[in-house]
Amino acid sequence: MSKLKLILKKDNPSLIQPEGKTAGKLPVEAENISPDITAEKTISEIAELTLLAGRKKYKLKDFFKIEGEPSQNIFIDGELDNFKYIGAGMTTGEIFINGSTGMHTGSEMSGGKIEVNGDTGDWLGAEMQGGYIKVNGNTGNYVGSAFRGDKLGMNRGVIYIKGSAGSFLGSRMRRGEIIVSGSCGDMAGAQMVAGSIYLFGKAGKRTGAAMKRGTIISAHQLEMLPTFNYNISYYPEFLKIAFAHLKNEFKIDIPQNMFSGYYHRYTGDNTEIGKGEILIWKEG
Amino acid sequence: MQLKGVEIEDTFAEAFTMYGSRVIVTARNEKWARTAAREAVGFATSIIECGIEAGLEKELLPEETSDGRPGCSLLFFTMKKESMLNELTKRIGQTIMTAATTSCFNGLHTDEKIKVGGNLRYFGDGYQISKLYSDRRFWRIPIMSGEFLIEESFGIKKGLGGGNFLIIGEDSQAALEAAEKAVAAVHRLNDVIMPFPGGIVSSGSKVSSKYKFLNASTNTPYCPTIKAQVKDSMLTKNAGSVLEIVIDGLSTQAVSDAMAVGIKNACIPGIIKITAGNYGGDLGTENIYLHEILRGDLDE
Repeated sequence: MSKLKLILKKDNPSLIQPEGKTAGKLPVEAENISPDITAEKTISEIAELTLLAGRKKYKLKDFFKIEGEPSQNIFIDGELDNFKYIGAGMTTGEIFINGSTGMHTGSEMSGGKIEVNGDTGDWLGAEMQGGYIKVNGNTGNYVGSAFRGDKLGMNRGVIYIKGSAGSFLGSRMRRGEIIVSGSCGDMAGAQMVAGSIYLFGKAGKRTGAAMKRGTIISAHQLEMLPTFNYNISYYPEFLKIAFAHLKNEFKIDIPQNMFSGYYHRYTGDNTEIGKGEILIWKEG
Repeated sequence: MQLKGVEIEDTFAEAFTMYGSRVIVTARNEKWARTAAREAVGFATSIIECGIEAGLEKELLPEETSDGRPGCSLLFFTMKKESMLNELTKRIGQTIMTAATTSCFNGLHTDEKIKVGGNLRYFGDGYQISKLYSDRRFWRIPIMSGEFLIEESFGIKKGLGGGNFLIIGEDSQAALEAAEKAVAAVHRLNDVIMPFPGGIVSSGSKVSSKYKFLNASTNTPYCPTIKAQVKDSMLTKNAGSVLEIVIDGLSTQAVSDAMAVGIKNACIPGIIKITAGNYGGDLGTENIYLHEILRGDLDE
């Protein structure tokens, strides 16, 4: 399979280097790094793609050594924690980042796959419409959430975080699935409208606050808000379908103990319409 | 032409285009999967009086089902595409959802779909929950025993109904033994069902009657107890019993293959002849010729 390789230059325009020493990094807006764009261009056209570093316009070749050929399959090597919007709005193809990325990675994407072999900043997959994001490290806040002022967050697609996630995970999400193997911060699933969040590690405070509908599945006990009601302890059969789908289609590791035992079912948030549910696993 | 000493008549089965759907029912154990399956395909022998034809295609092991529980694969056939939604909604709602511990999934992955689970979800009275996994939507309906899980859409495709053959035996014991062997062999095949009780029809019909208010009546040419009374009897002196196997399938090939397998297994001592039912070839959409499907196996 053809592949476009972008290797971050050690010396690039985003580095703030007074007196020759790196004192910081400028944020780089890199939404042009997307399979939809690179697949349609020649290597020389790809090299000329615009990236913004701070207020100034630069070319992609100023930041990256370009190898391979134009492709929907992009491999990026380097620590890109100051690069924003990589893969934002992409509809197809694949991006593999061997390193960390900054904010808005994969935001508003509707198809394709992004894998980050490192950490990501905030707003990962925010308002995504489809596709798959896998992060082998940790992520920031607002994964799969709605942007400020918008009513709905991610609507379809899967986000899998093998490490930990920050706060407001899946805030206002409408559809889709977010899976966090490590811990996550406060307010997971806040104002959630629908969809599923799987928390295999420990979660912070106020999980599910103001959720309307949707499902949060937790492998550990949560500090439940008083606006949730306990219903029952049972094994929900639909989880077998859900786990099989995550395992078979996305190769996601599901803790073996969650295939059996019981789940405490809480419904809420009663400050809203009360049709959300939180399922907390309990050893059988 | 003969097969294992049994005469195979040079005739054809006249079959009709039908629409088919496959429903997978699972439950906590085989007992409840079978119970639900049996109820769902009950009273679904003939499209004329039942509105649908249905049967058990096969039993499924836990590793063969979506939820890892034992299950049954059921096939349903209707003449009109539109009536499948209504029939499945009624049958799944009344016989599968009411059976303990069951869940219900689509087993036919076609582009064309009918929203059976999408209809039944309203039983949840507003407490139903939708779950979308890739392109499959499921409904969790709260019920007294817990939750009933059903897939929203079920595939539908053109199939074939009315594949058939008649087994003419010297007596009822021979005919039944042959029919049972045929049914057992056809049961091992995919994509087909035999909608009549135990897969066998003991009272086939013809499409006429002396009574004006009836469209069909007993198949007098094949009734052994009146063979001397009717002028058009198709039975010889030594014929004592006739049983019919009716086969519906998801394709013409599946039905033809099943007929061939069934006939080969029905050719045992005590069987005089195998023939097939047709209406002269003018009514059906497919004519399945016995000598063609058995080509290579027949003797002069």
